[in-house]
Amino acid sequence: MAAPHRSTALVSRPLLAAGLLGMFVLCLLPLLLMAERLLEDPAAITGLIETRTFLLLLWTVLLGLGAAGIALLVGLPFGFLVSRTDVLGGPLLRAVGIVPILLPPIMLAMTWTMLLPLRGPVMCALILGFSSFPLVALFTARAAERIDARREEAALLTGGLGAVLTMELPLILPSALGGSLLAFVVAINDFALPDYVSSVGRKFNVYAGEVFSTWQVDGNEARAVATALPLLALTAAVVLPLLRARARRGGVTIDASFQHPRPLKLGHWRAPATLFCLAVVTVGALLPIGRLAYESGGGSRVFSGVSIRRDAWSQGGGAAQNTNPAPAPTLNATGVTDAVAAAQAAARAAAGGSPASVAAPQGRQRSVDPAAPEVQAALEASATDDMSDFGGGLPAFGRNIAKAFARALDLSRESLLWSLLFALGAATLATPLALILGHAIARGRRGVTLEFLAILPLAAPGTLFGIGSIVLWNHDATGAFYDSGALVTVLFAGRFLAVATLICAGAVRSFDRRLEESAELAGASPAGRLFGIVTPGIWTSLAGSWIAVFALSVRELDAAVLVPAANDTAMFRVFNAVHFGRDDFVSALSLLVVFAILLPGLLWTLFSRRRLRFLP
Amino acid sequence: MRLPSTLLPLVLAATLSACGDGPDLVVRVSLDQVFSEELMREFEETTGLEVRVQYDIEQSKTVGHVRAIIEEAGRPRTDVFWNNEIAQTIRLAELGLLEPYDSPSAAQIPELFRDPERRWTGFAARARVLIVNTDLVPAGEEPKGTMDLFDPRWSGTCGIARPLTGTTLTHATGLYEVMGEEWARDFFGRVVSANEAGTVNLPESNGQAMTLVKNGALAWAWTDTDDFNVARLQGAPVRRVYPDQEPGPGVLMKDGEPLGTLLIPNSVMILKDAPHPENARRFVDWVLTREIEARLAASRSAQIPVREDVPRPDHVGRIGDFRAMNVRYSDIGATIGARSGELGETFIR
Repeated sequence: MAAPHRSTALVSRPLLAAGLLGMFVLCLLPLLLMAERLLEDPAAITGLIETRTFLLLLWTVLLGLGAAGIALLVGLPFGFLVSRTDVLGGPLLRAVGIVPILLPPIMLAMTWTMLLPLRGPVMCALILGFSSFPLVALFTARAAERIDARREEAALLTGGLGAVLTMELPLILPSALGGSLLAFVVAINDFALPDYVSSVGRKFNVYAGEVFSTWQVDGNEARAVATALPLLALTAAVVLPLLRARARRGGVTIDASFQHPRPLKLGHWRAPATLFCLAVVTVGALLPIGRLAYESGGGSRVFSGVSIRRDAWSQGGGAAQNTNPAPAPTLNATGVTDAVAAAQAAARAAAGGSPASVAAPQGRQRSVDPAAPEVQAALEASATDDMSDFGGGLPAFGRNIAKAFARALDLSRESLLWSLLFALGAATLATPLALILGHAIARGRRGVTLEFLAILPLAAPGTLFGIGSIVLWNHDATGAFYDSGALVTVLFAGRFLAVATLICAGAVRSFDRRLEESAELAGASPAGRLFGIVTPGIWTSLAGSWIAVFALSVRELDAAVLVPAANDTAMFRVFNAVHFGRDDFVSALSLLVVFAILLPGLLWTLFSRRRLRFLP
Repeated sequence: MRLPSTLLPLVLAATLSACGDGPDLVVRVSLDQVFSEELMREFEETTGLEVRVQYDIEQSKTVGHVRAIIEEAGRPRTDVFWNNEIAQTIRLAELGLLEPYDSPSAAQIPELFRDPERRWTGFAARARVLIVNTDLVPAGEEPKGTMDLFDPRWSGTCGIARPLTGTTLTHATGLYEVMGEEWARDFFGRVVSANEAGTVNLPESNGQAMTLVKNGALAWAWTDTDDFNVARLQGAPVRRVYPDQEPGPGVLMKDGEPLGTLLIPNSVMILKDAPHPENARRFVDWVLTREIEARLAASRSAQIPVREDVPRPDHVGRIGDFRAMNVRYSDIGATIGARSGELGETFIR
């Protein structure tokens, strides 16, 4: 293996300058403008020094450690099993195993809180751990695939599978720990999930909630910016050593003598190992998506693992006991059907059809005023199908699901299109920049510093980045840009450029630099070498970068909520609708969003012979 | 690899061109999207104007809008803010960010709901109520008021959203103003202690409080009339209780009288230096019509018209049907920012 060494000769200066300018404008300038507010009142930092803040930080660190630990416990064996062993359906499980990190954690929370009575920090750590285990699995899988076959065969001969695992664990563990550190970073920046999960029982507060809360107070901008610093410091404390370690290892390429290891035969452990992997993807991906599909088809939404008296509700006795002082037009299922039929008949009558009073489907006569509020309510209830149940069997389920999807598409077509367009733009803008920056990080000086700067927008709270973008772009000179959807593309690209850059930097590091040096000797320009030699060599990683930015952009909400042009996205619509009870429409729309998030990855899996690379 | 470099300008051009020449009107709406979207579309169809509507999400509520409006103040991009509550509106007025407009449509709206300087106008109100699960709480045994949160009868089965955003923050600020700082600090301190002891739950929002009661996870919780109505329309076993109405156990008293419940009107306002002032006035005139107020009353959000003669379904009721908290909205608006900070320190720890 070649020893790592660095040179700026391989980096194109004009391209690097363009890349740095792009990163500065997209990623750093919004944050610097916010940092300026801190300079107006540096004393705001000292305001953070109080017991409450330290306790919040302590809880946040503990949550992060818990989530990282769970991600490690699940991700390490999963990543190893699906990449290196003969578990049944390994490649498929490996692909599906990425899904949890692409789903909003709140979707996992909605499912898990229905099934388990667990709440508070433990549930939070479990959900965040399961949500981010793919990070560990990805790192583990790549590390396990880079162990030379000869070394493995020697261990196998001397001590069987046990000896192989003993030999390989120390080799894999650093990479797996790297993945779990990223899981830690994801966990400490989430505040919506702890709030949601501790809605019943003792409230579990985290530091990110404090950051959000501080923004609400007028004349407190310096304090609001200062509050974000501890989270940034925590992220730096975790990420910088990780980047340094990666840079040290990163120059190592797989040389020509490397022999790819063959899948390990698990023998009688094959079935339990397969079951374990299946359980992991079921809990992390299939269950949340399955629940959405079930609800889209009219499945009950009242099942709750924490219901005080679930029986009474599920038997349907509750509504009948409603003794509201102001009588409510609550109708049971039959009443709804009657009212809807009557209202529809009235509409037909108005159009010259049959009379308004008609026989209800059950044969009872019922005269209904179509303008009455209860009829309007019934019509609305019939449209939203909130009271649907699963009693009609599979055909009814099929009809309901088709209806729900038709309605979701009808009402949200534009939002979905905007989401796709913004994400497409962000991914396409970020990927070439990431290629330039990633190459500079891997081949140039001060790679770690550059890599850390690129990560800052991801580590900063979304609110901070969103407000920074308003301050940066809302001027007369940039007014047209600010008012347009292009701002959203730039906002998403800036926020997620870090992910693409990390992927590209890793890919370039593993790319044999001697090929670049040969091209240099042959007279190829730095830009020509980057696009003609490096790019084709890391093509799958570039596709991975593009897909990662696309997926993250589709699900972004924190910064987008502040910018008018980002308003009409599908994710925005899901979060608004979910507030009023998850009806089949919301479930169908959520599934469409999930589908949009996964779409490029699915297309790649279906039509490409090469495996998508997120890691070198 | 030429693909990304070829795609980039195409995608950017597509993004820019898809955005067109910009809207004729920009409206921020914090009335929930599921309620307001149809009305906004209808306004567009009726007037032929292209309206960009910025909704909010449950997580950030009005605060996201207010923060963005403040940040945009140097070069306002929003014409109209339709706020589903009033305290943050007054906060914006105090910051000098609103343009006075005396809409002819507001002539019949009581002065209580209008800014004397006409910077904002209130309409279509909600009330803070208790939503009670009828499967879990027999008729006649419902909670009656604010202090029932601490009644051992309801230990672990009652809830109130953390007063950090939305109407719960407005409600909390109202309690500070009416009951006094000392009382309010003690009360919210007790709420936090009760949560730590496991006797009071703190849902993430009024919407989730409603869902938890609807599903039987809680026996009752504080919410708003619109959330209650959604549960009712879904056929859930729920009942609405206006809190603090008659003297008795659990009822909060002020000067020997029950406190009553907080009434929170929607409010609409034109932003100072709005880019499309003519269209903004047109929109405000439209939204303040009796017809819109009647439709908001008949909609799923069941907003209570502030004009006595606006028709409404029976279940919506009238402002005089219940005892309303005697509070000056201007006082709430003037202090809500500071209270928000204080409540944040109380509840986030």
